[in-house]
Amino acid sequence: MNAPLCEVRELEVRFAARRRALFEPRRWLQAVRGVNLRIERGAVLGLVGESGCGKSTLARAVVGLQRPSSGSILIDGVERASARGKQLRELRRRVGIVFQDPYASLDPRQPIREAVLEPLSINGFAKPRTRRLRVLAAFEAVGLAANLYHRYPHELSGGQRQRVAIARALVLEPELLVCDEPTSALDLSVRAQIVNLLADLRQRFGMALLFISHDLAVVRKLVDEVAVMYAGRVVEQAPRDALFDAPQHPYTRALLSAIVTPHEGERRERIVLAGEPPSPLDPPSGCAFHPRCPARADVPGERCASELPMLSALDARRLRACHLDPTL
Amino acid sequence: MSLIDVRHLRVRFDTERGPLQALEHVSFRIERGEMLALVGESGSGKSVCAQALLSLLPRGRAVVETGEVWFEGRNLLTLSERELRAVRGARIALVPQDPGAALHPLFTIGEQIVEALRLHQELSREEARELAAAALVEVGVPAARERLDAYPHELSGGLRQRALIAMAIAPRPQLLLADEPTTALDVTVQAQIMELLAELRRTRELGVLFITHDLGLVANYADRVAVMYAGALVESGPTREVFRAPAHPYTLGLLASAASLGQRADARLESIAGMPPDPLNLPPGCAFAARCAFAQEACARARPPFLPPMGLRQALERGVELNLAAERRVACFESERVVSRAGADS
Repeated sequence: MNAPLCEVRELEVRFAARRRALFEPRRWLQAVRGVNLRIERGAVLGLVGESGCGKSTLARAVVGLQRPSSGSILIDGVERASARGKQLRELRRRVGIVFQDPYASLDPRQPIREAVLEPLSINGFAKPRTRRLRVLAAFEAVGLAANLYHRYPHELSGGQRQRVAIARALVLEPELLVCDEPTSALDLSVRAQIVNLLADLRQRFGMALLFISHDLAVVRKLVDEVAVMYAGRVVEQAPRDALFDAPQHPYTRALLSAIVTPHEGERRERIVLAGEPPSPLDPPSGCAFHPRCPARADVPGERCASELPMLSALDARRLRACHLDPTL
Repeated sequence: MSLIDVRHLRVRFDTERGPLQALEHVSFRIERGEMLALVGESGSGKSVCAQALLSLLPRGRAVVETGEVWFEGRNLLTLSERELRAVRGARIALVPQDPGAALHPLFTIGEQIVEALRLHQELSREEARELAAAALVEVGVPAARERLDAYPHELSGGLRQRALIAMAIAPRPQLLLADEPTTALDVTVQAQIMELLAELRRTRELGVLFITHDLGLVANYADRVAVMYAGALVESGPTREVFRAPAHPYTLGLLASAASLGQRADARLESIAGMPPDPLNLPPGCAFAARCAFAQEACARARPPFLPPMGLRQALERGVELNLAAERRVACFESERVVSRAGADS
């Protein structure tokens, strides 16, 4: 059997927090705490959660921008951290990334044709004379008019800039495209254009996507499977429809109930959680969600505050990390 | 009488590249205890509108060409700077978008609320501190008294936004201008803040101008909605009525591009083609015409007036539940054809 395109194994990422006093013991910010994920070829995995849950750190680790503190990331069976030379360049080609803010991710002094060309020349892919053709092909694929070829980022709208950022990732013909909140900085009508574009690109090139977002309504449009993160851990993972139709973790339920759409007949009862996501410097004991969990109060003798719930299978395709009885 | 009545507000910015029409004949009213949502994309003029109400536009560069803002019996646009200071904060308060940027990092929460209170009322420090603590309790800050002595960085994003709302309501204003108050917050915290605003409307009969681009929040919380495009209102009315049968193609497009949980998950999102026009170079006719699927020749020539939409009665007869007595306005020559789409897909 072939290895999956991308496999994340027991990934931990810690950062040393700044000390508040000279002799204070070093404190660690645990951004990602033991995450396992697999992305098959051509599949789309959605990763959702609130700010500080570790989803962007995980994305950065997958593309090699962040070194794991422990655990590993395998791309097609090759461990990212030990790849060198030609093998590493090949990994970089195969995994691309699109960032959230197209205003910050493009160099204002670089014409966009250069921005799209740069990944090719840096990595020494394609002969110089074919590079221009590949850049034009990438422009075409993301729906950028050829007459924008010589423009600078400030001459473009937010949606066009995000298309440039996508073209820049596409030009290397990646097999996995990591999208870190690619629509969050965009206006509503443009957001829909970018979501549709990503769906088209997936169809056309058969790319796999790791799609990170806090916008669950958008996630539902695009993904095959969803993993929900809270305080550095995956708390629930399931195929899309299973997750949206019958969420099993109390946090997933609250997140879903917080989606508001303007469409009538979609008003559901809102679960308004108390409190806020915990600080990654000081996560709660046991289940990190227990101080906010609306379900646990009903359960006598629960272990939520003392024991970490493991991510375990509820059925063939669903995983959940919760002590509570799934029938509740 | 309405709490605030804005009539024909028209604002121009003088820029290096020429005059920019930032607001064009904007009219709306807000009643006591009511929430009006002002919806539009970035650059549409929503925030300019809020600033214009309190004469907070940059002096010298912004010119209020026409308009009246009636509030508590006076036209705010005719007041002196001194008179305005008695209105700003005291009668009409602003809740800003980014709670991280709006609080002074070097003063405690308590000091900042006390200062805001003592600007408007003759109060001793102790009295002001009592009122500040009461305001924090009212907005649901746990351990309010200790939090008075906290610095902004010691609070989470949600608590900072609550502190800012406490600061806004402590002088007992009648109207809140909330400019994207939840955009910088996480979704679960966003729900808490919207519930808090709803509660304050009930308990204090506060009117709220809720500036947002999130149609989901509008549908769930606002009594009425006004949609802005390129500096002008293109549609207004009770939220439910407008969302059931939008009469402007832009409103229709915005609603269609909001992802729905109900529609088939793989269905494509509708999107509005193109981009908003350059505000320095607005077309002579309808500003939306170039992106509009309903546009006719007349649309490019003349600006459509802001009038009740056509075709609502026919929509009602087709079974769309509408209230014909609701006060609605739309700036579109083709509203009848737009309304005829209502209920078509359900």
